[in-house]
Amino acid sequence: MFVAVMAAALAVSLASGAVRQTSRANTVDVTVAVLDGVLGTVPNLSAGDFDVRIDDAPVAVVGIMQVPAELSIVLIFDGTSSQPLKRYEVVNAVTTQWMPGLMAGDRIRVGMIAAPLSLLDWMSRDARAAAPTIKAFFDRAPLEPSPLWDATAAAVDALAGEKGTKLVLLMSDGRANANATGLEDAAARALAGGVAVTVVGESAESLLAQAGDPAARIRPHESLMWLARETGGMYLPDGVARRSLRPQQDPFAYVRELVATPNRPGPLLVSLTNAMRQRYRLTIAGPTDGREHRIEVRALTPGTTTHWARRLR
Amino acid sequence: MRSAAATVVAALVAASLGAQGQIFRANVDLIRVYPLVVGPDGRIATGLEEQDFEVLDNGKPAEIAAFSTDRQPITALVMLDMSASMEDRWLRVRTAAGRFVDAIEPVDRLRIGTFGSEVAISPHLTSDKTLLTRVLREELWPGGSTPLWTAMNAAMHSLALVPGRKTIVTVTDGVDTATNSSSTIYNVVADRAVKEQFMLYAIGFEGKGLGDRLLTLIGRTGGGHFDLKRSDDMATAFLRFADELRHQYLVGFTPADLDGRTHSLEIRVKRPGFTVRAPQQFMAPLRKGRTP
Repeated sequence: MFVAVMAAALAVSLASGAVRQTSRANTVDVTVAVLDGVLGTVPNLSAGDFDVRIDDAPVAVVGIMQVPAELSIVLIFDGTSSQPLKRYEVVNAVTTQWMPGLMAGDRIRVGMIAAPLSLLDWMSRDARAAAPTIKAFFDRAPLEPSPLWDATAAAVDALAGEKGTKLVLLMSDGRANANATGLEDAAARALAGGVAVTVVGESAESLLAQAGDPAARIRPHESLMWLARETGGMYLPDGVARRSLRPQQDPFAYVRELVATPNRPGPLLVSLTNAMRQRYRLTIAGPTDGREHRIEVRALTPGTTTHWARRLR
Repeated sequence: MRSAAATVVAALVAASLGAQGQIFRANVDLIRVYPLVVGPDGRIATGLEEQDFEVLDNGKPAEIAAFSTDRQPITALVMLDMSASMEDRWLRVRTAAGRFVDAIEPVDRLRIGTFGSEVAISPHLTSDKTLLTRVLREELWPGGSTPLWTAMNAAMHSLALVPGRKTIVTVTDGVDTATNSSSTIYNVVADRAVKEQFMLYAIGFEGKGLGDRLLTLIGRTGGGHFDLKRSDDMATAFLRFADELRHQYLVGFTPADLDGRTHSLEIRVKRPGFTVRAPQQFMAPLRKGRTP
């Protein structure tokens, strides 16, 4: 109610497009993605369609505009041996599905997580030209560690100075280790850099029977989900949970399972990228104390989900 | 035979340092070892003096040039086996390692590593318990085979430039099952253990136990090991190691022959009934101008 009143007082109901209205009060901008049930962008929202709260207190949305659609993306693939995606699955997904779906004006870099992260230079969406480079670049890194949070921080740094929406697109099982940077530090770096981390998750929950103790719940994807949620990105799980066999258990059964359960991260990459492309920038009457605050944003349209960076300074 | 240069250096800088129980006649060729002494009652023996010790370098007595009973800071890498065969102990391992972290003191430094699907060693060598606890909470993932020797080699690499006593504590349920050329890597590890003076400790488990090769290396480096029964508290083993590391003596000597070769080493305590655990070999420095 309060939001609606304030919105009415301070802002005209805005049509879609790059229209922005601000009040005299101190304001801050928050970028949000509002998606329907099939990850399509919900169009034509106005300021009154949002409920925004800072530290649980409602605040007014005084302006709204659509963010330019161009994206700067660093895609990083976890190439370490715990990660179940096969190299050919990744190369195929990136070069034949994801890159052709990019738009003119998008800028991308592709990296592989081993120790440390290695990054290719910025490239355009020309998949045909880039494919040989990417194919040669993606490789397995047997027994090498997975410093996911270091890699995420490095990818965030690589996006410094880029214009438009900045995105780290991470393909990983979440089994992070050997990090100099902790998960929370990586999230803080992304938030400070205005970068959303979006994840294709390659793992699922498992239960481990423990001798003499209750079973342990192993949730490597939980940290990825948190990172995506905290930074305003998204998390989508791939189908690898179906792969239960290990090559050392039964090599033939392992291969049969691989053939029977192909992973298809390509459509997920495309969906996640498109979902982040059409975002709204809300201008809100924000705090001006220089301190960090928690912010909650909800689109009031039924059946939608909202994605936004959870911290505001 | 002591080199002339070493003798001169020793004469110039020899000094009895202020702290009680601490004597250093430093020289550049000094070999420092950290023996643990167990008394007739089976307990760790403290309070021994320099004259209680005897050092045999290739079977010949060597003069003790440095001696200390001071508590030596712990610098240790804890390598945790996360392989599939360890999955049912995953929680126990994490909890016990956490107890070890709790037990360190501000002068100590720990680093945590794992091996299984990957060999992963934290870059943090620190006394910061919050940071170490974060590593245990965020970075232990079960699964994979047991690349024991690859992991040990990586562990040694990560501590290679760290001065002073370097300890690797491994928790594992068996032998290397992952490394194609495990014998080759084992030889590298065995060589490094002596050359770079690592002290190896290990915790194994009833049934499978620790492999013979690992036990051989532990003995050679003067470390220790536990084979835990199913009902045993793993944290107790960690705390025992910490206790041992805190009560080792520092004994320094200059090798008789600076030939760049591996020498046999025996540290004895002259009192009856006392036993010593110490490295059985060391690599002598190479005198300038000599070839090994």
